[in-house]
Amino acid sequence: MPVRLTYAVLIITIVVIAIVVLAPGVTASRGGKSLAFVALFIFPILAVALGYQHHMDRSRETSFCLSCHLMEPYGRSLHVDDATWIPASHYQNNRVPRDEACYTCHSDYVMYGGIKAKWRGLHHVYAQYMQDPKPPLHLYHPYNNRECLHCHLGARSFEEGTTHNADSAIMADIKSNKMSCLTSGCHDQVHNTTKLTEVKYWEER
Amino acid sequence: MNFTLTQRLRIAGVLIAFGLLIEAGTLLWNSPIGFLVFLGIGGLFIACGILIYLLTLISAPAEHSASSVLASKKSVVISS
Repeated sequence: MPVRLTYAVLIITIVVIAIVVLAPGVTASRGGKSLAFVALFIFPILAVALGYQHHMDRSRETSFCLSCHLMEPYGRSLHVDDATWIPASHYQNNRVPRDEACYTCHSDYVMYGGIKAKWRGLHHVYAQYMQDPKPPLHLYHPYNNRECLHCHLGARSFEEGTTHNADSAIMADIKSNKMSCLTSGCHDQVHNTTKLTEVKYWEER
Repeated sequence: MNFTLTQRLRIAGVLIAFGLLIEAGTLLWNSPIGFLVFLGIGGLFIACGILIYLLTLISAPAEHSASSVLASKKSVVISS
C-alpha cells in the first residue's frame, strides 16, 4: 500500500474536518449532515485502516526489527563472511528477501502465523521496556523445522543431500521435526552474537 | 457540562484531526514505538472523537425535539 495514498486520505480528511469545525452551519442542511458523517466517521476510519496497514507492512522490514538497540548484533550477524552461518548465508545469497530477512525466518508458516509474529513483536517491545532483557536472547519456543522446510522442502539440495539421506530415518525425523535442523549439530551456526568479535565481515558492494 | 450540538461537533472534529496528525507523524517513524504511538495515542484521540460524534448523533434528535417543545410552549404562553 503506497504511503502517498495514506497521506492523501489523511490530508483530505483533515481538510473536510476543518470545514465542519470552522463552518458548523453547513451541517444544518441534509448535504452538510452527510459531509459531517463522512468527515467525522467514514474518512477517519479509512485513514486509520490505511495507517494500520502501512505500519503492519513496515513491521516486516529488517530495518524495523533492527531499530531496537538490542537487535543490533543480530543485524551484524547477517554480514558475517562465513557460509556456515545460516542467517548470514541466507541474507547474503538472497535466499530470503533482504528487506524482510527477520520476518521471513521468524514467522510461523501456519494459519495466522503472521498475526502471531506481530503479537510476539508487541511482546518484544513490552520486554524491551519493562523487563530489561540481556543478550544473548532466546526464542520463546525451539525453532521449528517447518520454517526451514517452507522453502527447502522439495529443493534438490535438501531432498538429495548426502547427510539428509545417510539413513532413511533421518529424512523422516527432519520432516516431522524430531531432529532439529539447527540444534542437532548440523546447521548450528546461527546468529552467535557472542562470537561476533572473532569473525570477518562481508562488505556489500 | 452542557455543550451545544455545534460545540460537540467541534470537539469531535478537533480530537479526530489531532489524532490524524499524530498518525501522519508516526508514518515517518520506522520503529515499534511509532506503531504504539499510532495505536495508543493517535488511535485513542480518533476513537474518542468518533465516539463523541456518534453520541452527538444519538442525542441530537432528543435535544432538538425538547427545544422545539419548549419553543411551542413559549409561543402558547405569548399568544395567551
